[in-house]
Amino acid sequence: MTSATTDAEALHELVSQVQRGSRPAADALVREHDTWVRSVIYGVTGRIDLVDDIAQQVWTRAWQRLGSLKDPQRLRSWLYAIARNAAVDAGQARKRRAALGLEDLGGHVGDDRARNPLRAALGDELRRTLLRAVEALPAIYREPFVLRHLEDWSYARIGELLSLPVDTVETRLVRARRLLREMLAGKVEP
Amino acid sequence: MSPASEHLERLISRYLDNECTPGERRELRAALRSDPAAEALFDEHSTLDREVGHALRHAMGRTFSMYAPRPLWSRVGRAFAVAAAACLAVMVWLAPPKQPGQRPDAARQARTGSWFAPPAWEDTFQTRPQVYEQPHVGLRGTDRHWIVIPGEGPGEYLIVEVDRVRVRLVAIREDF
Repeated sequence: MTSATTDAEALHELVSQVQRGSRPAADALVREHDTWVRSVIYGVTGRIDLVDDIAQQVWTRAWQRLGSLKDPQRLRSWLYAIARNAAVDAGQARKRRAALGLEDLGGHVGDDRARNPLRAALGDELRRTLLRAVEALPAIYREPFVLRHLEDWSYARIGELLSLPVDTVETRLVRARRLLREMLAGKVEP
Repeated sequence: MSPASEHLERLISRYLDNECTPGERRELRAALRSDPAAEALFDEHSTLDREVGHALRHAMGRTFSMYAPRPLWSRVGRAFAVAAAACLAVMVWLAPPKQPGQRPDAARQARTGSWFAPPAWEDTFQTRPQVYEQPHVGLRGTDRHWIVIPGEGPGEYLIVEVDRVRVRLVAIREDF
């Protein structure tokens, strides 16, 4: 039995248990997938301060709809679709509120200052500048870039999740780096 | 951007993403040796990559991994600490209460009538009563736990047996 088969069986069993209402299995599922789901949300929105709320929505929707997941092998792409849609919806809602003057669309990278003074003390200007640059990337470049840097995924794995050919993933990463280099010229010393 | 520099950028990007083949790695190394501009571009990209990656991980709260397994020595140390604490608790629980005893000097003074007299033979070599002899008390109200710690190699385990003394809450109905 190959390890891929074992993984597939384990995933099938885990999803079945969650569908039957097992709390420990649900915990295990969240632990295994929450980090990359958050990376996807950040990749789509470019906003750190939105990640927690949207991730909560994603998992709520996932529990509500888990019964409709017929093929547990498609869990990852199923979760990705939920996360991406939730992130896009949140982005559009934010833009609508901004159009009504209810929300500031400016950089929220340094918003953790109020929440965590220690982090604020550690968070220097350079870090905020870098995150602003990532936020300014077009989403099609930011998504693979964030998955690559936060999840350490290979091109093949990123392509599988985003339904993109490996070459396209590679091209988008090259362009993301080029844009970042242009935006941050002279701000980061080698 | 020229095709050559675009190719170099792609090579650098593949290298930073651990996607380079050995041939591409050699090609990149040769380019960096021969061209200072290529070397500068590589330094710039690798610094940016490192810094942006660090900023992203920090912003997403991934600076410290929540689920990182503890090192083996830490787990073994914790197991020994639990076992030692349990043994100490058992020893304290089984220790007999101290009997109020007479000071030996006072006994000698009572027999000889002087504080300065040499100690009597039987005082020096007296047989002390075995007050610390283990009483036959069964240890009840314990939970036995086995902590199994996987070792470095396959089939290697450290098994620590711990007897935990169960704590019982007793309501005091009379104030002594």
